Amino acid sequence: MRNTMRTIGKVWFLGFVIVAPALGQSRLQSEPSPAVTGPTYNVAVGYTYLSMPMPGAGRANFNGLDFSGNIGLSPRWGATLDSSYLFTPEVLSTRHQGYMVNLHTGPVFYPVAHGNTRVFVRALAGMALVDGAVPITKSEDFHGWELRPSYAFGGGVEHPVSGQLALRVIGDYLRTDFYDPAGAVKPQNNLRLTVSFVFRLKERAHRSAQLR
Amino acid sequence: MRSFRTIVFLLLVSATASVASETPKPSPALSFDQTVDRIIARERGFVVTMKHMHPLAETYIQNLHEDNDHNVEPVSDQYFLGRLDLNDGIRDSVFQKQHARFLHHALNPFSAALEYKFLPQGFAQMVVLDADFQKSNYRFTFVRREFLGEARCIVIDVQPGKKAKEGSFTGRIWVEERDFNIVRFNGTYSGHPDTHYLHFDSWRFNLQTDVWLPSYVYVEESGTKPNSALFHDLYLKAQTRLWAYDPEQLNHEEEFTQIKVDNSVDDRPVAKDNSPVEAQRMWERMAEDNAVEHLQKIGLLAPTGDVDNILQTVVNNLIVTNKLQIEPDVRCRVLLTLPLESFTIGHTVVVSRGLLDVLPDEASLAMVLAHELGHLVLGHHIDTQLAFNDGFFFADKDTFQRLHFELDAAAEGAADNKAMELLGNSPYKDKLSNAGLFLKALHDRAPLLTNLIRPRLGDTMASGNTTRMAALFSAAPALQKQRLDQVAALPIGSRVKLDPWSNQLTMMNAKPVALVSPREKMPFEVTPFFPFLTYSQADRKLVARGSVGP
Repeated sequence: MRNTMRTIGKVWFLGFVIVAPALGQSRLQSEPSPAVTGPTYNVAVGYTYLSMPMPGAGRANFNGLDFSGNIGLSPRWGATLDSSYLFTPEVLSTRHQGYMVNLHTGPVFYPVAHGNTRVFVRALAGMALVDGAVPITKSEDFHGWELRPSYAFGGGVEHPVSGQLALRVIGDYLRTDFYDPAGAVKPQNNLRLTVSFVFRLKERAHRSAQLR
Repeated sequence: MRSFRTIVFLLLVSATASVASETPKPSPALSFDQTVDRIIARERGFVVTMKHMHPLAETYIQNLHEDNDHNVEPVSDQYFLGRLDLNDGIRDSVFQKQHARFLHHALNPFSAALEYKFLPQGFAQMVVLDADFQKSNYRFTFVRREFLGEARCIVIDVQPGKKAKEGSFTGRIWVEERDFNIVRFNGTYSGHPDTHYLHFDSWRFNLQTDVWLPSYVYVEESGTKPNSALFHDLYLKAQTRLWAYDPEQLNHEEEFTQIKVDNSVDDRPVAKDNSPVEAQRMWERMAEDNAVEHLQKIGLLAPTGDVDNILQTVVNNLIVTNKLQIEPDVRCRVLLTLPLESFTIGHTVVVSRGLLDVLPDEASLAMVLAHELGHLVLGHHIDTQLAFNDGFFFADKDTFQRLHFELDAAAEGAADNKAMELLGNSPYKDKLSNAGLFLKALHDRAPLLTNLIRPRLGDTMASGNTTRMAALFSAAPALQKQRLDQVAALPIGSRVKLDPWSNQLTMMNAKPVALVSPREKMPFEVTPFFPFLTYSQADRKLVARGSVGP
């Protein structure tokens, strides 16, 4: 499983860094150049679901809220700051609550756009705090929390639903760490699904005056 | 190389024209579907033609602001001049006064990404409706027929279909019925809201037989709720003008074949030798001619024409009434660019098209010319290094960096004083209040419209808190923006009309219009274009010419 995830990660990285920009560039050449470039901003809030494997104990399901802020630096590139809070009332029948708080940031690339619908891929890095429990025996479990560097990569689709509002769906692979039943820190390969509403902030007028 | 390009262009245009002449003229039986096929075929031909054209493209943008009393005024501006190149997409080599600040960018690499920036190629793009115009990508809806000037047009709404790619045109096109050329299109490119495609109105002129080429583009974006929120839409107006299409401009090869030598021996009885003073004058004239010829060759200076004659008349009025003896003769020329500037190249007085456009009356023009004449009378001389032709071996886009005709502040002050003296003896001496008002209007807008005021080659009209001709400025009445009868400066494009093919300037032939509100005064402001379209005249028919060997 671990090797598979590594391989997927390498392929994804190759696609993100090399292939995707090349594809985007070839599309760009056939499209009209915009007359104005500048950052665009949006904020998003939504529901997020996470399937978390507890080392040596199965998968736990978390639900929560996701908040993110995005800046578009060009028609094809942007950056995002993403945070989420996920909660489960009971981790794998341990009678312990569990939660995860994470904060990530990283680049976003939009390789494909059809009409107003845009497909994107992103790579994020940051920190994740995992509070959970791992069953050791049928009557005993281990409960604790771990704050460690974390990373994520994935992609999604964004489609405007009105002038300033859009719907965004993201699927992510999220890498965190937690303890196994033996008390050793082990990596977790989480899968995260987020559905959020995006509020597009319009560009500030007259900023161009600063170009002088 | 230039000769090769010229031949390729002539063959291309001839081929286009011959195809057009073979095209059957529209008949009443032509269905709308067939008409659309013809339009698309012509437009695809246009794109091919444009790839061989390298006109100058000048874009001037004014950012606007609406105050609480709903007065809309420009608050900042931006200016680009470049040579258009449609090969491999839209590119243009931009004429810049200064190179990009490398150190600034190196130390602050994110500033470019985080600042709003107008892109010259984005404005130049608006001359092309769709580089790959295909019927299957669009829905066409007939609207009506109407005249745009002489051209009877079919008006059609064009919307991207389901298969259309991002960046497809959406809007309305006007197609002249004679040959199915698109002569105007008005709309935008469709795309994601985060992609800044602006709304534009693009006009083409019939510059050669069967060849319609982009000439004017007007751009406008209106903010919906200024002052109501932290973030709001772009609010701007912009104009793009294209000219210098003629690949034969100042091509001396043809003249070479037409040299007719009547008599190779000059047997006049007068002295043939030049004195040192004459030699110095000739040397300075040579530098002057080199500079003038170079500027005309690259399309920055208009060929001699009617507008020069008007300037010459005013200069002669000043010379005669002041009993001036100036040797060699003073000549007047027009710089084809928008920024407000005037300067002298030796004994050639140059005034920019933009400055001519906004001057309210002849006395104001006399003020500008008197200042330049002041330089000549005071003997402010040209850099005679320009007499060496190797000084002109540089890329067109470097012109503003390589040629300088501005003088220092002391020379400017002395020319101002001399100009006041010249004007005092001239027929304009009692009509100078409007000239002073013009300076006040300029002073009022100078801090905001820095790109309009900043000269590219010559002397500035206003700088900081000072304007040229301070004495006239102080003597002028107060500027009253609400008074309809006080017009201190005109909107851009008020005076002269530019032929995009030949670069010839003519005076506008517009009827006087009574203003109904102060809003219509629009001093120094960008306005929409509404040209009177005409078919090219028979005498301008393109005649294919053979190449000339060295």
